[in-house]
Amino acid sequence: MTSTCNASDRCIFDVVEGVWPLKFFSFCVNGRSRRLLYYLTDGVYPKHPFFVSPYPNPITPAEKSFNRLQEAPRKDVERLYGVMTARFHILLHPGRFGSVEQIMLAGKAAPILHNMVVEQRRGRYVAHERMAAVAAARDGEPAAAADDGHAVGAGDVGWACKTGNCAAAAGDVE
Amino acid sequence: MDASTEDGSGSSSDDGRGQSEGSADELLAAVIGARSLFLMRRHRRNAAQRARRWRFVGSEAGRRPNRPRDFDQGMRGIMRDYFGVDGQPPVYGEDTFERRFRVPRSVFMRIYEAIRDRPFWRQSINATGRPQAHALQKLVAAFRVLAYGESYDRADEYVRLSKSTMKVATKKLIDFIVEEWEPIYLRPPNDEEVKRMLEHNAARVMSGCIGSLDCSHWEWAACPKGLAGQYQNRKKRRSVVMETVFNEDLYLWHFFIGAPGSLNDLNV
Repeated sequence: MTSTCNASDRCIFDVVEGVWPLKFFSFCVNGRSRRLLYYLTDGVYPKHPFFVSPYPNPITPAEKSFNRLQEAPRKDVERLYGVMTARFHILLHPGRFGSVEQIMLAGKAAPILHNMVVEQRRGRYVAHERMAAVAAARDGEPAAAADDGHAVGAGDVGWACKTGNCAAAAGDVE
Repeated sequence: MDASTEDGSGSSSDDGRGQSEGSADELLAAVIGARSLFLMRRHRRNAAQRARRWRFVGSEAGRRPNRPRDFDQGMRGIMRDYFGVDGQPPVYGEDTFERRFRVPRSVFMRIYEAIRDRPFWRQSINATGRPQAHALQKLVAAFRVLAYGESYDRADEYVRLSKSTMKVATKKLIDFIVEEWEPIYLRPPNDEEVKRMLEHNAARVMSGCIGSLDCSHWEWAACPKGLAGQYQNRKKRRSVVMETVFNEDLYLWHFFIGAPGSLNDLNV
């Protein structure tokens, strides 16, 4: 029950099979209890019950206010790709990879790093607590996330300036 | 075999001796034949290997020797700029570190600690006894490529590594990150996290919402011609589609990449 969608690439198939979204949570809308969780999308997506898109032509005040409320969380979409491509410019420029596998791997590495940064930077959100739980489960993992100061010296990197050796090595070069 | 035939020839009659000489000749012929066959096969195998061999192989007669890049100089520069040498504070502070590497120092050091003892990354000694590049150098080079999206050759003058080393380093870093942290950072939320998300979104009136879903295109410059028609998007460029599900704090819960650019959002 904890992770119903194992391989992340199979999410849409899980939706079709009814495994995902989870239906164990109920919430209340307009006095009715509902159980199907939903994603916010825009108008281009198909009209599935788990996609909530804004009204294309809002007329009534209710529709207009719904669109306003829907677009308020939805606008973050435009921010995400801006932030992620600005953070890792490898996503900004056209990819120079020879195969689909390589471009997939490179495309996955950037969001992973992005998530690492996000959970590092924004402590009051869900992700931070999740990572704390993961760290607690691995009990005693050295929490490198704890110290953000630059107390990291030359000894930590395992390199010392060996000027004598440097000169000897430079002399060896043909 | 030879000893037994000699023993047999010494004890037996002339007929037996003639037979044994004949068998010795046959044996010799068989040995020569087998040896020539073996040599021929080995020659063929070697020739096939030579034909199949990777072009960029190590030192050989007639090839350009390795450039005398001073690896230590690159390492010294990195240490001086971002970590501090001999008790001196680093030249660039935390905000510059994060701007250049696009990750905070703690995340960078975490990756470094995880990767430093891997076979490719750890500092090796080559056949001439000279130490090769340090793990930090390769990591900095790979991060330059990821962060700035620049070509592999670009950071050569700073970190003192060849472009082929940087290419290998970038690929290995990407492989390592995906293999090591994908199960942690790109897995679907569990019940507790879904509950937290629902509470958070209920505060923004959209109760029951578990994130937003969107797709984006990443242009693919080096798309092979054979895939060009499949991956052509609506702007007549080759691209792959990235699909994401994420929170309002821009934490990605689901990420899928690799769909051809000819697909619209709703197909993905």
